[in-house]
Amino acid sequence: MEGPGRGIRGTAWTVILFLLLPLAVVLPVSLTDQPYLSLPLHTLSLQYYANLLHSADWQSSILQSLLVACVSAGIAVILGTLCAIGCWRMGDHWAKAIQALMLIPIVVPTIVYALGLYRFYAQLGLLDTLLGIILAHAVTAIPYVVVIVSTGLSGVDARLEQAARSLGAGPIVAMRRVLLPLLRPAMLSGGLFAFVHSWDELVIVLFIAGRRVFTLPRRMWDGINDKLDPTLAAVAVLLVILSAALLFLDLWLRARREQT
Amino acid sequence: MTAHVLEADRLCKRYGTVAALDDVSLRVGGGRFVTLLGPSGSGKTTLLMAIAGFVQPDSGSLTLDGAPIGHLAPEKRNFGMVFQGYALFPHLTVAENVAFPLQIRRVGKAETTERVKAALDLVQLGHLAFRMPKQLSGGQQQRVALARALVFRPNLLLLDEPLSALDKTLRLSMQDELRDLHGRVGLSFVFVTHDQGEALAMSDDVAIMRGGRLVQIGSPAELYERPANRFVAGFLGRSNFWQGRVAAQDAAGFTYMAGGHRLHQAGKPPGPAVLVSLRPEKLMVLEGAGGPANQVSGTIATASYGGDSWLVQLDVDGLGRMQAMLPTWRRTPPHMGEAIRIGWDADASVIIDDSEGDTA
Ligand SMILES: Nc1ncnc2c1ncn2[C@@H]1O[C@H](COP(=O)(O)OP(=O)(O)O)[C@@H](O)[C@H]1O
Ligand SMILES: [Mg+2]
Repeated sequence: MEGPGRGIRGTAWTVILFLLLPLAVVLPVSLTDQPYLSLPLHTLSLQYYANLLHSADWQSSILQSLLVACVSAGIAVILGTLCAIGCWRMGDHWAKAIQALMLIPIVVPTIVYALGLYRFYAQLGLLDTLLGIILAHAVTAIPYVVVIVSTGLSGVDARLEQAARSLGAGPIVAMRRVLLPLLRPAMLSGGLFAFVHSWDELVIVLFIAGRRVFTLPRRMWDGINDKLDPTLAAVAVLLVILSAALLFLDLWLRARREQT
Repeated sequence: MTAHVLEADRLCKRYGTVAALDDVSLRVGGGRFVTLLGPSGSGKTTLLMAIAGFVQPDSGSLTLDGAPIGHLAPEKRNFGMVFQGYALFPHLTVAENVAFPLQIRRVGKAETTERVKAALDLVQLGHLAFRMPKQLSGGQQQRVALARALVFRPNLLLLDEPLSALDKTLRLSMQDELRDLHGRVGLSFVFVTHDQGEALAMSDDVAIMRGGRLVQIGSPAELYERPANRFVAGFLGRSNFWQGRVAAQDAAGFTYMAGGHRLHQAGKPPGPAVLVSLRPEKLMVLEGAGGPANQVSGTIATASYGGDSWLVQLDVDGLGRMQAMLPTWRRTPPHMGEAIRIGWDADASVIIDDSEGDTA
C-alpha cells in the first residue's frame, strides 16, 4: 500500500523532532561539567544529580510537589467521579448544562483564574499555604476527571445499577460493588491526568505562593531566572522520566480496560 | 412452596402529559405465569418497574400477601428481575454474578457455592461458571440472568422482554425452557412482551395494555375467543369486523341485518346496534348444499400461501373485504377472481364492544 505522501511525512517528522528535541537537549545539559546551564565541554558529570540528592531546597520542593499533586489528584478524582455519576444518573438537559459548566476551568485562561484566586484567597487567608495550592489544583483538575469518567460511564448500562438493587444491594453497596469497579480504570486515568496537571502547574503557584510554598516548578522557575544552575536540567530529566512512566501506565490501563 | 400474592390497586403514573399508567389494577399469585402484552409505549415496563420499586406511582397501592410494599426500596422487595438486555455485571464471572445476591445477603461461603451451582444447573450452565458474561451467547446470558434472579429465592419473578433480543429459533426454544422453568420453581412470573404469539403460547393469564390502561385480562383462550373490544380482537391475531342492526330475537340468539344480509348470531344483543368479530379460521368454504346458519358469496382478491393454510382476502357483497384461512389440504389453490361461497356458524362469530379500548 502507498503510505502518505512525501510532503506529509516530512512535515510529520519535523513536528515530532520539534516536540522531542528540547527533551534531547536537556539530557546532555544535565550531565554537564560546567558551572552553568550549558552542554558538557570536557567530560560527562553526574555532579548535578548528586547536588539534587543533597540539596535540602530541591528535596523539599519535590516533596511539596508530590504532596500537592497526590492530595489534589485524590480530591479531584473523588469530586469529579461523583459529579460524573450524578450527571449520568440525571441524564437530562440539566446534566448536560452542569457538564458544560464543569469545563469552564479548562477554557478560562489560567492566568485569569489565578488572578481571581489571588483576590479570593487574600480574603480567606489561603495565600502562600499548601492547602490553598492543593484546593486550586484540585478544582482545576476536576474537569479532566469529569470528562474521563463520563466517557467511561457512557459505556456502562444504566440497568446494571438497577440489577444490583433488584438483587438486594442498597444504593451505596450497588455503587461500591458495581459502578466503581467498572469505573476504576477511568478513575485511575483521571487521577493520572490530575496528578500531572498539578505536578507541572506554575501560573497559579506564582500568583498565590509566597515565601513558604515552593513547589518544584516554582523552584525551577526561580533557578532559571537567577542562577542558571544545571541542577535544573537534572530535575527536568527526572520529570521527563516520571511523565513518561505515567503515560505508559495510562496506556497500559487503557489496554487492559479494552481487553476485559 | 406457597406462591405469594401481589396486588396492584389503581396505579397511576404520569410523565408530563403522558399517562404511562392509568388506573391499573392487577393481581398476580398462585404461581401463575402472567404476561403483560401491549404495543410499544403502552406502559408495560412502567408497570413492571413500579412493581419492582424503580418507578414511584403517583397514586394507587401495591401489596404483597396483603401487606403494603409501595414504600419499600427495590432492594427490600425481594423480587427477582430479568432485565431487557440481561444487565449482567461485566466485571464478574458467571458464578460471581449468580453469587452476588447471596453475598449481599451474607449467606455463608459453603452454602453460596452450593446454591450457585444448583442455580446454574437449573439453567444448564454449570459448565460455564468461570466464563465472563461477554464470552457467552445471547441465550446463555439470558440463562445466567435467570439463575441470578432465582438464586436468592425471590417472592416473584419479573421479566422485561427477556426474549426480544434473541433470534427466532432460539426465542422459540427459550419460550419452552422458560415455561418449563416456571413449572419447576413454583413462583409467580410477571412477563412483559409485545409479541402476541409469545404471550398466547406461554401464559396462564395475559393482561392486555394500551395507552397506560389495562384493557382486558384473562387466559389466552378467553382473550382470543372472547375479546372485550375491537382493539383486543385486532391485536391478538386477525379478525373480520362488521356492523349490524338487530332485527329479531329468540331463545337461541338473534338475527341482525348487515350489508343487506340477514345474519344469525348466538347470545343476547347488547343493544340495537352490534359490532361483530369473526376469526378468519372460522370461515368455511361451502361446496354442496346445506351448511352453517350464515352464508354469503364473494370473490377472491388475493391469496397467500402459509404452509398449513391459505390466507385469502375476499370481497363480499355488502360486508366488504374479509379474510379467511383455507386449509391447504382441502382444495386446489384459490385463484384471483374466483367466486366462492363462505359461511360460519351462529356461535363462531362474537359480539364485541365497539371501542378501541380507550374507555374499557
Ligand atoms: N422516564 C420516563 N420519562 C418520560 N416518559 C416516560 C418515561 N418512562 C416511560 N415514559 C413514557 O411512558 C409511556 C409508557 O412507557 P413504557 O412503560 O416504557 O412502555 P412499554 O414498556 O410498554 O413500551 C411511553 O409513552 C413512554 O414514552
Ligand atoms: Mg418496555
